[in-house]
Amino acid sequence: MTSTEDEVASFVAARRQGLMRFGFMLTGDRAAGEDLVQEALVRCLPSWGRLDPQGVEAYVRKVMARLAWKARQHPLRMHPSPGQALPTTADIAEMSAEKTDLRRALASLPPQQRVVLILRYWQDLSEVEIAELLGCRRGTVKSRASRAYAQLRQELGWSDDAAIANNMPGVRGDAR
Amino acid sequence: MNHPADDRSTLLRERLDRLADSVSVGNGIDGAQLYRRGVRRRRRRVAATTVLIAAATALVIAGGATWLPGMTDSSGSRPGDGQPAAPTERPRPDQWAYVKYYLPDHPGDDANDPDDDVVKVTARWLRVDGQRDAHKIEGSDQLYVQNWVDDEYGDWTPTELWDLYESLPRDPDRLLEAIYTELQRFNQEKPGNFDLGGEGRYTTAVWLIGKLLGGNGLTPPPDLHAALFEALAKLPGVQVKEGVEDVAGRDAVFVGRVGDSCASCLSGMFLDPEDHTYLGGTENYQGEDTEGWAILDRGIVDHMGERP
Repeated sequence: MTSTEDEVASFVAARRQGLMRFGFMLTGDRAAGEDLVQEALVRCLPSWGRLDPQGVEAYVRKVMARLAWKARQHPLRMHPSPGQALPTTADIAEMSAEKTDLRRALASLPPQQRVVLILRYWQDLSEVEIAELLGCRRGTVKSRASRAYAQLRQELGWSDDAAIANNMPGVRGDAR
Repeated sequence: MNHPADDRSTLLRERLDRLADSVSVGNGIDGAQLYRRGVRRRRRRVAATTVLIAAATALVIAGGATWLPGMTDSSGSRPGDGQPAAPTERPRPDQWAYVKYYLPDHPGDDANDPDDDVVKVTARWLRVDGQRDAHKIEGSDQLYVQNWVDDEYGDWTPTELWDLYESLPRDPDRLLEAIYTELQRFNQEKPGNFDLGGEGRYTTAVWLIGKLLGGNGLTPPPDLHAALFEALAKLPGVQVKEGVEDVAGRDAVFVGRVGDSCASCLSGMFLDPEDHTYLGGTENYQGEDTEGWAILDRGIVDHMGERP
């Protein structure tokens, strides 16, 4: 092994779990998320030796977010394929209904909305930080986050914020 | 007391946390294997000499019309005149638009195969009326069929795209205005989707012209094909690189503009240097390291799974 190869192997072994989860959240799908991690790592290799060792993970995550964001212009959108869209039996077994519903809702979001939602609400980045990371305007981030949140609420039947607090599905529409 | 919006964010974050924590993580990624894969990928890149020509000096005058370099033949005919076989009539609603893509940087096919990115060819059949959408990875027998999902602008069905072709003006100035109007209309429906302010409108227009040239198995009628190039030549800041190769290694001309997918990224399209057929595109032109997509074949067929 070369020294860089060693470094990459050590990094992946140490950070695999966090990166895989980030990939899953960005894509809404475990297999697509794993592909995203792999693709980002491969793209980081040419500049690996120049990266600050303390900042490698942040850099890889940035590349992952950009790749997921850029799926918009790709001729084949990065939707999970039909075989990937549904959780596997093992997934279902390990997830509560709440998580399964949230996972489905997340997977149903358009790729850019999902990316912004994850960066905004899960990674807790500001709109400005997200705009800088993705190379887009703050207004784009704001509108995507707003639409993503609105669609998530609709998909999950959250009629008000209390529904989130109680982990209970709310009542759809105006029915009371 | 917390602001309700803060509570909402916190609650959503907690749910997302729980979801992320519940994802089981396998050992599917091997760092050493990834390293070797990256080295192989770089070796595959074919060096290409690139020539950067600023659009202001790149325009040439031919027969009274303004073209981008290389976009007239010796007779000065319009680029659309000699385009290769492609549907130039409205396809029937029950037909299928077939496109064969080369996607060297497309994630999502086979995570367990370390050499999966060596060649990624995917065939796609989209029913003209948008009823069904199918794709198949080359070498696989599995045909994925799903309902058509229209979630982003530019995801036209072939019928919608042909309607757009017919509605667009053939005069380049009016065509550009129609393109901006179309993008603004969409921005009103979904605010902020496109950057149409200042210079951003030019980059967005380049992107849309690429979509119209390469869209979903169709090729614009010859008069529109020519008008799109005339419109392209009128956009400030467009860069042209001649004598390059597309991501599939074919001779190509690259036409693009800075600032779409990222502030410094040069995004745009590859064109056949002879007949200016749309070959594919990239969001970040990087010379020999360019990654993107290529269209290897396209046409209209009568049945899903059939090839022209």
